[in-house]
Amino acid sequence: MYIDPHVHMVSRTTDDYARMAVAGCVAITEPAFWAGYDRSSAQGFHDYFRQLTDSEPRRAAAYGIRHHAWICINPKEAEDHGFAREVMGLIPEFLQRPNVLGIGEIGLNRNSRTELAVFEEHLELAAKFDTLVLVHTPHLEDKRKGTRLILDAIRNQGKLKPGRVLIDHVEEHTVRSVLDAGFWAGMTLYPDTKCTAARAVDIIEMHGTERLWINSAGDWGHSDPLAVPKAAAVMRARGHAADAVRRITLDNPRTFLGQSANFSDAPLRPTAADLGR
Amino acid sequence: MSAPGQPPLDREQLIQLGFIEARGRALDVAAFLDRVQRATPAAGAPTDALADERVRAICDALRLALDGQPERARRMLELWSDTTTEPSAKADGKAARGVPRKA
Repeated sequence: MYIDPHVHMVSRTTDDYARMAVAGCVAITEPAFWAGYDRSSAQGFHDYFRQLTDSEPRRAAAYGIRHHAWICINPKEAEDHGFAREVMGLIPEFLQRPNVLGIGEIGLNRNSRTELAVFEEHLELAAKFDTLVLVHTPHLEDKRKGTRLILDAIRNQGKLKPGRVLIDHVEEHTVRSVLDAGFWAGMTLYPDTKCTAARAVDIIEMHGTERLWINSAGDWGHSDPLAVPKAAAVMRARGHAADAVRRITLDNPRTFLGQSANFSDAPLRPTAADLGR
Repeated sequence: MSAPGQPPLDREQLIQLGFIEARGRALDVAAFLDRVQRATPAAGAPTDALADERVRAICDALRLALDGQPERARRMLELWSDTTTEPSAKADGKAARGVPRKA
């Protein structure tokens, strides 16, 4: 059994759900993200949020996988502050949906002032509605600086408990600062631009298993929705005990996500409506 | 139980497990540098194959990998990181390029 706590299933085929179920996936969480193009209206986001909270949970349920979502405007579409505020106005409505865990994946992309301002406004929403938060850290050369700006912004706001915030896409140069500040840390398993399974296991060996998880962040790009069970196999091959593998792939996500009453990884029997789609 | 930072497998086991993959990746880097060197420079570009700051960043990282010090992966990522601390006035496109632009 495992949980993939960050995967963009709207970009994946139904065959991927079937493969994930066969590999032992019992629950996933899907953060709102960039679709590969900029949406032209807030209504476009409204439709996307409906997809995350209505049709995608049914598609997952047909394979016995519980689907959960995070709602936000992602940092790649946050450079127009007025537009971002219009989309953020939709968030409270969707926080009421039964599969929504909180605000995410918010954060920074190119570390601009507007991205940071929109991130801070999302943090205020999370504090107001007392939700969990999933934070995206920037890619490549922007990650170190962006992670520092993000940690400072959360500390400066001072309203969110670090134990209710997960900082995602950590790598060797950012994981220590995230864990030392009391946050949860996610390692994303990507072939080229983030962590490979081997490096993720190195990080586990160097930093332990506390407040750490792995995810596939499978999406429309070069990624693998089976990355979590494959990394579990690498952990076992590297001599790690079954309980350590279980902690990283099941117990830790369950502990963090279970802080939301909307999270469940209990066995799921699809309904006729789920199977009819 | 291993000490913090110490892998459960011993050195020989880890080499056995990872050597062929690491060998292949090291060869890929060498072949990439050869390919870039064989290519014709773009119009107006320097003739030196290592003039491109992205290519130079890889060569700098290779020197770092050979310095005998631990935490090479962390230090390599830091070598390739933007070291400025203030947010930028505006997002410079959507995609990062892998190493910072030199001023």
